[in-house]
Amino acid sequence: MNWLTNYYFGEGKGIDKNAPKPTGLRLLAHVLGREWWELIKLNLLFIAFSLPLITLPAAYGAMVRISVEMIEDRTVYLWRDFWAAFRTGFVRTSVLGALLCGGGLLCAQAISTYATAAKASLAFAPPLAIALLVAVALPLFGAHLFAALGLGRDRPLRDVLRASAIGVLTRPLPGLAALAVVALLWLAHIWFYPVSVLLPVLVNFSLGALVTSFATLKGVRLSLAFCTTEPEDGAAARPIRS
Amino acid sequence: MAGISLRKIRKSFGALTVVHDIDLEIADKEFIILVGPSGCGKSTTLRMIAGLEEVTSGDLVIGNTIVNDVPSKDRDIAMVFQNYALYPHMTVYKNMAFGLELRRAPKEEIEQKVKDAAEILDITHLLNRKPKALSGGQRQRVALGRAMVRSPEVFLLDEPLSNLDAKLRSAMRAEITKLHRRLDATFIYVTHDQVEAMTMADRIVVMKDGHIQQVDTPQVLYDRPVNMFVAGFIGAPQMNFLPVTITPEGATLTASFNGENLPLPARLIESVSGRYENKACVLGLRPENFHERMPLDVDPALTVSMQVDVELVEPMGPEVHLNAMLGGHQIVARVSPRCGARIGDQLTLIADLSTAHLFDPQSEMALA
Repeated sequence: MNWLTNYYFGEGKGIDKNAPKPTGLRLLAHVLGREWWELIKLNLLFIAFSLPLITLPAAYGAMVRISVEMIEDRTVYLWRDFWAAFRTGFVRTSVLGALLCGGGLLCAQAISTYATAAKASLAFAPPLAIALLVAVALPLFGAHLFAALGLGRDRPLRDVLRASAIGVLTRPLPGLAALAVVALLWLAHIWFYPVSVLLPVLVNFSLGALVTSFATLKGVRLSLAFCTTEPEDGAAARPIRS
Repeated sequence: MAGISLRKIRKSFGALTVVHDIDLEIADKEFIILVGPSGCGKSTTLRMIAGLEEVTSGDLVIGNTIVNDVPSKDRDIAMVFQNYALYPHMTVYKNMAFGLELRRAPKEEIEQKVKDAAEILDITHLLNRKPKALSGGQRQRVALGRAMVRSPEVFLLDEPLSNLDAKLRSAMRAEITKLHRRLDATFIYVTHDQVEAMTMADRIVVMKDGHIQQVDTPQVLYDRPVNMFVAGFIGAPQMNFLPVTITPEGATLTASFNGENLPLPARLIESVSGRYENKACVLGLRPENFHERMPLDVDPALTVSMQVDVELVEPMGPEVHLNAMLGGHQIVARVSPRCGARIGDQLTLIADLSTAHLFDPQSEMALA
């Protein structure tokens, strides 16, 4: 068992203060390598908090906020910060989550209806295309919105919504790529079932939140800076704990 | 005020006594170093001050309070361990904040203190990293930072540099000294490395077998050791000891060694006069008391030429350590690198006896 002891307690190479900070996918890999165990715990925490279902948006909001902290390389006290984020953002995230879910349901209904109608008449193809577009744009907007809520938690809702919209319009590709990764995670779970039975329990939610937050963060940050309605006092950079 | 008094402190483990009734006064804001070979009781003494070991007898006083029965957490001290004792599953930030969290300090205060300590120690970039990724030096800083955030009156450091390589150790020595000045707190530091002790301490406590041998400033310990142990322990390479006989020569006294009469300085003559004539003594000469040629700044009357056989040459850069045989006794001389001595050479060295020491061979106590 010495190797385990050495691995756990052994001296590392050290961290160079002047080493260039990783960017892009290297940064994501860096965060994953550093926080993998916290991500597993975060996933379990999210599942536990989502069990009443009505708490799902708030739990997701808290999870995204923790992910943002991890990406920003701030110290995270998982339980304490998650609970603080869940509690303080409950109303906001619940309302916005409900609206997004409602929008998603409407979208699904519209796609189903227009798809059936389009089979009979091509005149229904354009509304079907619009419904499909909205079906893609809605989760993309949702990803930006939750990242914006995590980053600009002290900002007025109007700013957050505007920043999310601008983020979707200016940098849609990273968000779409992140959503594709999330979709792949879930497809992997389905394809490799039952081998992958533990995947959602351990990582799917938290990893998905981390990846989407990572992809949307830059756009959201720029947009939030653009949508300033109050004097900036570094609120966006403040840690969660209050 | 965080002066510390050890009054007749004893520590026994069953029948084995490892610290014998020691008395020591440590002034407020003093940097004091306990030094001695392994097993001399220095770490045990430190652990008693920390409250990690119970005092068998005697009084341990911090400020004006006897703290023998005060729990460690209530003594307003912070300890840095040799192996750093960082929690491997916690980030640097959490390691540093942990003590304050246990005391239920406000979050803002914890954050501020950790940030301040991290800035002082230049470890801000490490705050969200785990100890596994850190080098020895970085871990050492974190351990110091963890002690600092508690803003204790007394810092206890138990061989904190012994796991570092020589270069880093030298750098950290300077940093800890600066830190002491900056924090303006009492530092009690344990080491077996006399170089650390000499370079950092306001005062040094030399210990052996659970007894304090001498307490004084580094220079006094070096210049006026009270016994052969201190004389040998302080200084690197250590002092050379030569068996001599005090011999009357006319109106004065000399030290007879290997058939040659060595002149003694007045202070030594005064101290042995009337007590040690024709008796054996031990002459102590520092390696720097040997010269390859007559130095300009010494009294020629107190010098003597000696033939040595060079057995080993240790070039140190600015100086050379010659291990040589002198009258059947091993000595070490610190000479100039330009002396050109080689192994096997027979060399004449000038011994300067103006700063020599004499010791009683039985008690091993200094005679001046």
